[in-house]
Amino acid sequence: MVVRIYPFIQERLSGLLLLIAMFIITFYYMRRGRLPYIRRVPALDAIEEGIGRATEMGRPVIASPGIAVSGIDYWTVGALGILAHVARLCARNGLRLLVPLGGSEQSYTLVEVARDLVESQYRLEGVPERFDINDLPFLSGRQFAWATGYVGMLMRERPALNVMVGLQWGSAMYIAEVSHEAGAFTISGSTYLSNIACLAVSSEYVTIGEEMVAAGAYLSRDPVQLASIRTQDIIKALMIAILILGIIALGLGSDIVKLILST
Amino acid sequence: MSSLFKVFANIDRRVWHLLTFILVGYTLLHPIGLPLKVSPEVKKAYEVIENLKPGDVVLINFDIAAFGWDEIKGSCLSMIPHIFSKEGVKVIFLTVQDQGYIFIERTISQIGKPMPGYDKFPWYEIQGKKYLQDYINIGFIPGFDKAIAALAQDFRGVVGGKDWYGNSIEEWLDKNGIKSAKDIDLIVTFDCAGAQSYFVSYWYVPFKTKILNAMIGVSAPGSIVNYNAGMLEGIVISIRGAAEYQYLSKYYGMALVSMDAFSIIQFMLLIAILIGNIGYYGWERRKEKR
Amino acid sequence: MSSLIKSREFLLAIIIAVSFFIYFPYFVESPKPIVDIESWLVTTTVVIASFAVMVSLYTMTRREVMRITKRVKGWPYSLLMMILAWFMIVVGVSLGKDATPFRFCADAFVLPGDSTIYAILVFYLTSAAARSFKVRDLESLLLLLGAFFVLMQQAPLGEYLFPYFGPIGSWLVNNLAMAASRVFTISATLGGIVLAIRLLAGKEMAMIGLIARREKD
Repeated sequence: MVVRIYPFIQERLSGLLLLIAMFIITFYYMRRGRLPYIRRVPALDAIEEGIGRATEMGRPVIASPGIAVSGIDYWTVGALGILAHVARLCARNGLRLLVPLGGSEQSYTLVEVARDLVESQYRLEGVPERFDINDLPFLSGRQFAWATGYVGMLMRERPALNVMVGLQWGSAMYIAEVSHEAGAFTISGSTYLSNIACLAVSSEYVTIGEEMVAAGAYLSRDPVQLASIRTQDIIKALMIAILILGIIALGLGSDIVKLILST
Repeated sequence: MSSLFKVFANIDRRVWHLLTFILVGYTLLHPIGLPLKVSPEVKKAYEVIENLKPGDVVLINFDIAAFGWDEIKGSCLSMIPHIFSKEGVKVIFLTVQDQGYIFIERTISQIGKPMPGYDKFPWYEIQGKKYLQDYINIGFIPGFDKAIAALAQDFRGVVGGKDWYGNSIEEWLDKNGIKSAKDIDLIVTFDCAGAQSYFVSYWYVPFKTKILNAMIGVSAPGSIVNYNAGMLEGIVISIRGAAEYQYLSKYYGMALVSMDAFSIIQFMLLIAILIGNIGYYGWERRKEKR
Repeated sequence: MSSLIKSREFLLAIIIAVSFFIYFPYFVESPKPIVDIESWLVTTTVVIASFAVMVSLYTMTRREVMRITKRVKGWPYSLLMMILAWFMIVVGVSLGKDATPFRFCADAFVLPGDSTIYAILVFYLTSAAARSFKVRDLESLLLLLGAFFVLMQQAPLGEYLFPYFGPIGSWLVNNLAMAASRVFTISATLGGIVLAIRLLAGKEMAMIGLIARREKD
């Protein structure tokens, strides 16, 4: 049995209510005076350790915000938050920062945003002259051509730290291995299930899924991003509750939860 | 003994690369012929195509780039001839990858032959089915996910009136009753970049269109989720799935031949892990403790 | 006029208008004019996507020409890349995609190059297996056991030697791995929605820039 409430299209009303709820919750947290609490993600300590290592060795840092297959999407925004943090630390410590950009057709949308972000960090630290746009090349719109360029940069520049966050596909394994060969301390962020195991074993540190986005939000102290993380946590808790209710209801022979969700 | 552990712990990566090359190369050239079990997902995919009826319209999407071609061509070269072997079925080829049209033509040239009186694309016949009578090739539509959404929204508007080669297809589409996305009976998508999730979102959810998905190994987890949720009718995973489909459909090819090399490399990975761990526990860990 | 078009408020008005015409017909039975606008907007994104290629070509050319003229380290590679890229573009546009020189470049350079780099992964996977897959604690042992069963299920030789590898590997893939995959799907979906909310609120850094947002706040 499926219930339809005119004028809403069948099976979409529950989605609309969820959307409205997310709007209300996000706006509430955005407008609230206090920043929502997010625990410190352990990856941040790893980044700072890596930066310290690079400073001692006098070698550059390489950081990538991923291949942005769908343009500036959810994972990429989180990765940009981490990139901004790495850029700020590099500017502060006088380190050279390399950012290989590209990897997909839509990744061009990321180029100007990433460059603007990194340049902003150098300006905020008071060292705009240290920013070099040639260190943020757009390598290619194809995944493996970009990966090859990335690997070339790793082998030539021999960075002390490699921060590989954002959306990464099959090339991540290849880059992580070469990064190890080049002697870099590798921190990766995996948003792709197939990569997690490989990156977990070949990187020194890995952030899985939303840890990376939460790290980006935590670092930016941006009320908007923090509000988003809080909204998602609330909605996920709600979904878990509905899931449990649904399982109990089905166990008792009732499909009321299923009926409500498919309205 | 400790020198053996030290050797195991310090094997140069190039040794592993060379071993991989030799083992895989040898097994590809001299296949052993190991038995192969067919998985239920591939069997289901086979049955969906086997049960196609005259008048059914099949949309074949080539989300294929060069890097995935060798892994997925086994599926293409067995599933597509199987589709064409069904009486009265109409086929529309399209691609959402910029390199995809090259692989459409490669596939057609391998499974078909030029029509009498013609010697170039698109005038090929496949299993007696002729171009612009039984099938058409729309070619590349840019935008990837946006293209898939736009096709679902306004199929005829996005497709336009011409095929990839400039031939008019309006009459063909009208004759076969293809006015909108609802008129497509089956989508078969060959994925290197996860197009199936967009077909599920924009085609299955509103129209309940049946979707079959053949994909490269790294895209498998996402497809398995949708298959287990009932949104995909069948899945053909990577080269192993292709080998199973080739076996079922009797369109034998390189995927079946590669299964022995596939097995060898899996075992080699396990041996590499074992040797690495022996070296770690026998040498590295003791060195750390000292 | 140009200051109006460049203003953040104007961008926001466009985003809100487009969002309304996409969201409203999705959830509510709408009159035909609104549905037609929705179709037109969705189709237009295909056109915009094609321009993405041209923009990336322009930025890439500008950068590489600058590297060549300034004789930056590695400039011969930039020159080579420019020659190959523009050769294919000129030949493809002037002679067509079916022309022999274009097909030769694609079949001889682009496609084999792409395939080769992907194929290299298997070599790095084997060296990573020896180097990195070490059982240091309980979690890594569980990871290794899972990998073992799935590898054996995938390999025809594995199922031939011990038939139970198949059901165990399938169970792991269809239950544990699928659960994890669903988590990622739900996270990405919710994340996409909140990103849209941030865009509609005009608060998204990617839209208005980091400095501009900080100055405003």
